[in-house]
Amino acid sequence: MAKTDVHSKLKRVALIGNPNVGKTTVFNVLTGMRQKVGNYPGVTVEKKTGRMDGEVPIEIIDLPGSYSLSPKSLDERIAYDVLSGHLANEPRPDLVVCIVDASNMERNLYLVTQVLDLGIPVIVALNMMDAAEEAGLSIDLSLLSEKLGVPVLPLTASRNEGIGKLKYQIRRTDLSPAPERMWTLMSAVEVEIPALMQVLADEAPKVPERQRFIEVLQCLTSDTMLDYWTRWAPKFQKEVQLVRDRLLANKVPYQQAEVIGRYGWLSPLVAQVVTRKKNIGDASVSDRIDAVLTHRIFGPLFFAMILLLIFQAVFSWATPLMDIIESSVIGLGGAIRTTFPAGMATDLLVDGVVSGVGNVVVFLPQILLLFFFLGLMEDTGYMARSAFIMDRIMSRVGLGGGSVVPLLSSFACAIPGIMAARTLANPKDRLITIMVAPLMSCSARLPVYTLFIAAFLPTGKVLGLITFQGLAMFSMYLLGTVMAFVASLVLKRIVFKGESSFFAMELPPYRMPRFKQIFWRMIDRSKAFVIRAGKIIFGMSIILWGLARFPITDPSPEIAALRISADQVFEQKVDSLSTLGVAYAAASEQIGIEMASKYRHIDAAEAGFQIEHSFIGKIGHTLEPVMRPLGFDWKLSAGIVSAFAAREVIISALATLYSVGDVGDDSPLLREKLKADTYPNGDPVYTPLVAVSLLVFFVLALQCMSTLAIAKRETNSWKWPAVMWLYMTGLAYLFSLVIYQGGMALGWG
Amino acid sequence: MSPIHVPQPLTSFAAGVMVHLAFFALGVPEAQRLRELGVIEGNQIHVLKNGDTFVCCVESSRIALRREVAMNVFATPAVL
Repeated sequence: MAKTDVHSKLKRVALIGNPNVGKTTVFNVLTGMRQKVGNYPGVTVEKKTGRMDGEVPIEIIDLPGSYSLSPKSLDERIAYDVLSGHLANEPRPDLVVCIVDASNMERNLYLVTQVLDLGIPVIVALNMMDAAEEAGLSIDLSLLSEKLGVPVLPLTASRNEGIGKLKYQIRRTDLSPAPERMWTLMSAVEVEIPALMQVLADEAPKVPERQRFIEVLQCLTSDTMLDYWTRWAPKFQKEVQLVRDRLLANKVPYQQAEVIGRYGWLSPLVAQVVTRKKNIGDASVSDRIDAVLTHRIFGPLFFAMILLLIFQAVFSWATPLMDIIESSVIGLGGAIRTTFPAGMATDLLVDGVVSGVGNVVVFLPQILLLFFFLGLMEDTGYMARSAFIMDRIMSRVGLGGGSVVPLLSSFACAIPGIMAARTLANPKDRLITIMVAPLMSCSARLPVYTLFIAAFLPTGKVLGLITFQGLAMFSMYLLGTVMAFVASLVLKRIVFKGESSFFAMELPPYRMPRFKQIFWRMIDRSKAFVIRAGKIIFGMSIILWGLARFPITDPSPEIAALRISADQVFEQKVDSLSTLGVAYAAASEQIGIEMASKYRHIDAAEAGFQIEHSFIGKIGHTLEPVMRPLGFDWKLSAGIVSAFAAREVIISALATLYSVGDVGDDSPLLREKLKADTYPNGDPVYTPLVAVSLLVFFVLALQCMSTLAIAKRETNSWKWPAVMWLYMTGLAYLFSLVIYQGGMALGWG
Repeated sequence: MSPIHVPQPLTSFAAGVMVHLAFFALGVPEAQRLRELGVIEGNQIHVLKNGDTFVCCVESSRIALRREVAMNVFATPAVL
């Protein structure tokens, strides 16, 4: 009994602070490597927790960096929800450690005053004391502690200074809750507060007494918080709405009351506590670097070079590793086939499970590399500059600079791209970014591009420099990007009209990358990706396997006859061996080789027949009338359906349909088979025009279960994923139709 | 010369000038965001860059604004 008590009383300590105050460094020093990354229920905001060892272990929660607790971005909403205990299964923390940038006190303390109002014990850690001293600031710590009414500690986490004292303070059990509020709202708003607090207390008695004030205030100033209470305390919500209406009618700027009140108390306090010895605004090292990196000409140039490097890495450095993974997956499948008896279970294991897992793992090298580079950009402080440089251009297509990184990530995979959009403060910008991200050509489209470009487009060079095929590849990427911009413009104009987007962000000082941190973040994020996307891709692979495997059909009489005759030939040959005597070994080997190739051919023909009569084959035949105008026959239609699990699945699906065994995207065998295929009237199925039509279809169509699933999680409804699927697939159909029919009319077919 | 200045948009100040923030002609959430970033009415900020984009220095942090945002933030030259 006593034991469980101790366990359930594990002290929970939350770390909070503005972005770029070194919060993650503090978290790492406190917890060492004993960390775990998960998700908060219902949203994909990372939940980072760790253990601080000692006689009694303490759980440390790293909250997303926030400028305030008034929720604007999803990250900030989570910070408030965790601190206020709004989340199910997430009790309020027992202690909050506010990490404050010592060289930027006023703004950082704004967040601290909000945390104080929660009535939880608080410790303020002034981080980056070294930078503050360098900037010529001297801070009266004891005066600050006295004014705020909580312990204030100096810290330089990057050099491990002050950590011991911080740990000691965290372990203390005698910390009292933060003092009562010392600032006031403008009187017109202040007078409304007590009555609202009473309504809340009556309707939601679970809200701790000391927390009522900030709940009322949040509800008054933020629509998201007002909506939150519609469900939990409808009467309170209505009451707040009434007060809002009344204040509005009296022209009281109630939404600004909080900022004015808090800063009104803070500004003189900071002036008292901080003394400046030196003039601020001297050009720092960061300013000098920025003079080049955010220069109106060199800046974009440098950014383009960085992009080129990342692309190069993701697309070529990852290839050897991906090849190794692919061949090991095929090797593993082969090994299973030779170890276990042939049958349904083995088929499921090899074609469903192993290749399903393979479909996920094969992307890992690209994902790891992408996350490494993103981590590097984030850690050095360049990420903020990239958003800043691109803002001008992005604002022309209705987006902001903040959308650059999510869209770039989508070149590797739309899933991390969509997830990266949650840092956008403006919900409209975030939604548009999510909606257009899947149009960026992701790495799963690459094998499809490679196969069809290599098979059907002429080799030759343009202007003697660039290969025609290379140009075609580039055009695919360009088409996707241009369409993403067009789509965002349209969404901005039609769906979210009248919303002006807004761009204001902090440019953190540059610093040397900390590779250990980047490495672990890369591992954490990749792990989250594999688990999240993996489940869906894995499940879909098994479903597709079932669709292609059932109903089980007997092979056609022709194929059956082939097998019978092969069996007969084999028997005859084996019989003839007995007369050979000495030459037996050589002759039997010869027969083995001959017959193996014959049987392979028959096996492949049987598999092809089976799949034509399977569910997926039937779906392909059913879809053919709709897909014919785009130039696609039933096999391609079936391939496109199977590509819904993951785009590159179309290659293995086509390989099965064409009875070619295991293949890669550069398999000459599949290429030749595709080229040789004809309609009953003798016309080739695949012409360069069909290939272009198919390529464009793949650029634009949303054939990815995982993207839809992640979009559902991030937007919290099926509405946006449905719109996304419809508009992208509609666009794909329309473009392919115009290209194929136009091409035919011009006689290019 | 009158010492009383009429507030002007931030974009009308040259780089290197110290200004005193007067008021924001922005929507409530936008103005709120600026204040959370430390760009607050009554504070002094240092204009670092004023061109295609706008960068200013608030205490020791650098804040970048889109030009259209800076045009709607009004300030007077700071009295040193």
